[in-house]
Amino acid sequence: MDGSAKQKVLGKIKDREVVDLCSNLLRIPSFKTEEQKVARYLAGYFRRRGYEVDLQEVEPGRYQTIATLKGSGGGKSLMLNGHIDIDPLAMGWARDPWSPSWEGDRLYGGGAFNMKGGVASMISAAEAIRKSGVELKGDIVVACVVGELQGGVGTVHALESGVTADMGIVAEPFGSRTIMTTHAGVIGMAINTLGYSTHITVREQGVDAIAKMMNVIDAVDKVELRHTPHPELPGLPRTNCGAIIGGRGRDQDLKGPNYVSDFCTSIWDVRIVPGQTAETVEEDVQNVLEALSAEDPDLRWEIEIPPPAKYKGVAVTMDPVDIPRDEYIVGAVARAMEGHTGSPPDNVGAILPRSYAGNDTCHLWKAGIPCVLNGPGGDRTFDDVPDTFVYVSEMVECARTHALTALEVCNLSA
Amino acid sequence: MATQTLERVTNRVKEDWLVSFARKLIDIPSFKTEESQIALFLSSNFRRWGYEVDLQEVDPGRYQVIATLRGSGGGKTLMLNGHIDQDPLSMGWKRDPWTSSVEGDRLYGAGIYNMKGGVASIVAAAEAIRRSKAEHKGDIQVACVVGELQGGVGTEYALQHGYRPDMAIVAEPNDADTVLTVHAGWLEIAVHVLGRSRHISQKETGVNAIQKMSKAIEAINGLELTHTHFPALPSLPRLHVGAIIGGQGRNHVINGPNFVPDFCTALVDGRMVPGQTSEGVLEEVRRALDGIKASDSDFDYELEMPPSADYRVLRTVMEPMDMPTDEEIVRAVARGFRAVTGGELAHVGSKLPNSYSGNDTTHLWQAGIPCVLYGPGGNWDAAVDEPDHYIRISDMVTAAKVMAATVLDVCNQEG
Repeated sequence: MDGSAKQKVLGKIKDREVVDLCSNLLRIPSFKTEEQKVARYLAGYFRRRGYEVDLQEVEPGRYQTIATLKGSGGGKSLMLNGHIDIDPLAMGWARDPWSPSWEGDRLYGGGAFNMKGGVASMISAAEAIRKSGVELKGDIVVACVVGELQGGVGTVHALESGVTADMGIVAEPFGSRTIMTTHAGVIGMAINTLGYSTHITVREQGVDAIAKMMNVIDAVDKVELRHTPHPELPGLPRTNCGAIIGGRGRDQDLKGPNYVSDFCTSIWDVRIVPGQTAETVEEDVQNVLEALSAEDPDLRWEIEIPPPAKYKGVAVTMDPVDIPRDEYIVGAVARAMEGHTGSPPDNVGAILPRSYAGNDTCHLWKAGIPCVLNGPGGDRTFDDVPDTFVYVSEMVECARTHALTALEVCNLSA
Repeated sequence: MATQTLERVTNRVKEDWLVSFARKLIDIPSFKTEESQIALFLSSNFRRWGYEVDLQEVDPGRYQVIATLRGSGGGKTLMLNGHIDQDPLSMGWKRDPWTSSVEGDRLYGAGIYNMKGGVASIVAAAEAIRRSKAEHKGDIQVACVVGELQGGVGTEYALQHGYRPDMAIVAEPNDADTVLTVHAGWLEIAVHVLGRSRHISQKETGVNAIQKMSKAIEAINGLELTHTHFPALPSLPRLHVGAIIGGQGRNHVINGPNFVPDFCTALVDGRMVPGQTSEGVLEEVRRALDGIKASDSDFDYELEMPPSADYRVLRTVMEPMDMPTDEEIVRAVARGFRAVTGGELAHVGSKLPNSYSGNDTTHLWQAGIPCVLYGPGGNWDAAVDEPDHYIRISDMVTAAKVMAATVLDVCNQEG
């Protein structure tokens, strides 16, 4: 890499500008399914700066922004990917979540941590390249996607619509000194029990879907999912029965408790290790329920993976990911990090507890795009003040790492 | 009562009219809390027919209708009472529940059994009196009330707003040859189990409210409540969990299964025998759950009776009912039945499973108004394993005639 090109690019990344960009994003609430306003803001931002902009309608009226900084041709392309949907706000914020506040090294705001900080970093990286005037052969694809918190519906949509790249970085907030290559798979599962509704006074003639569900939960909670233990993901696989609703009819009408319930649904989150799939999990759960059915002929059940959209949970299965450490992108990001900080990454691989969660790398990897996670850290706390923040120094550091990675990767011959 | 007058009146009860009116009631969905449309339909008919109409706003925007046909004066007042709220639909209807159909003596449709068939019958009875111009000294009150399925909020409202008939008939679907004076008490309790929310990756340090609820459900469904055996209601008392919802927070957010659920609510339905009280039962539930708590320090619960209005279930309690069968209203209906059919009532007092259900007679009787349950029967056909509800058309006709005869009898007694 040309040393002067590197300096020109790094010189274009300034704390104040990164913070300003992130603050603009933080002022626009963008809870999952409600991202259109921030997507439109970004589309305008990129258009004014000469990017090719693809404002994608993921669902009717729901948009995401894919911006491409075109290379001169013949080089490899790099995708910088970040989700623009944010988590629900925890109760009790001390600050106004929609008025970002820069305090020392921290930038506070609703969604700052997960992950508008990362989105600001990756955009700042592309901007540094553009403003420096350094020419790259390959494209930089800046993918600001929706619905990662729903399992990655936005990244899946982008890939299906033809958006692609030779390599990728997803800027999840796992720390600027970290390159994560490994994470658990995340599966949403609904289990229904079907009963027969009778009035409470003749309940002996009914089949109680709620009572059956209690047995099902007990059994599925103890399911032994087939897997080969992954040393970097101890404690997995695991299941969590996270919600239940049972009453009358497939819409689980709760208003008739004077009748025996004939339909009950439990909603599960399952975390799996590389080697497991939604299919192996479904088979394992099926085996448990079939054994239960063998003892109880009245037990009728259904498994739905992923659960129907009406439950608004995980809508897309996220497969486990374990990117080989010798993939080019892993080395490229490590070199970029060392290139501007002078030291190699603190961690490469799985980082706990973050690797217990799924993220959009699973969809990129499945589509054949080698990729890693590298993004600015921050924090949130459940027990004290819940205000989330991102570290400004880490945003800047990640912007530099991503920019230098682009300088290297996008000048490789395609 | 002159036989001629009686015949003139009962001849005014027309099967065609009854079926057609009942079908109009089926056409208007009226799940509990959503009865206003059917109340407005009824009130406009009553107005057209010349009744005094009292459109009562029971909750904001929620209406019920009480129509009064004034007597010539000096007689006793009889209330004909029926609820216009209907049960949720169960799964697996073979017919379209909203397209009523006549098959032989059966009229099928959503809510017809409990109890649009009965409502059609009380309206037909009052209309037979009005159209025949038969004399009645006392007033006839046709009370089409909301929220019986919530414990009788509509009838309670009417009683709180000055209605005090001398006697009453509540036309619940217990068959046209049956007069009931005994019924179980009815209560509902929301049981909330509180857990501790943690991310799935730290679930060992959380407390799963749904799994804890499992213990509570087992205890409640199997609870042996203290009572004196009441032979007419042999399988009571009983408690049963009929609905459940659990997730994150007191609003049971169900879209975050990546966290251990920290709040789960079970809705318990309970039936009592005379001699028990709702407060006594609540106390026994509390003791049972305290028993779980004693052996599991992570078990934490709250009880609400009745459940808060958000759940749209029972909003009041129906205490058990056991009215003496020598009350005049019992004898009057028996006389009416004899006059119309030439026979005797098959059941007076209690009948199973009907007497297992609470109903609005409890509120009327507690307000000092002698009353009976008398109305057309039906059900669903267990033999063909389908949940479709129907009413027997011949029962609607008989019940309407018997109620009209009872009106002529009671409302012409000195008030």
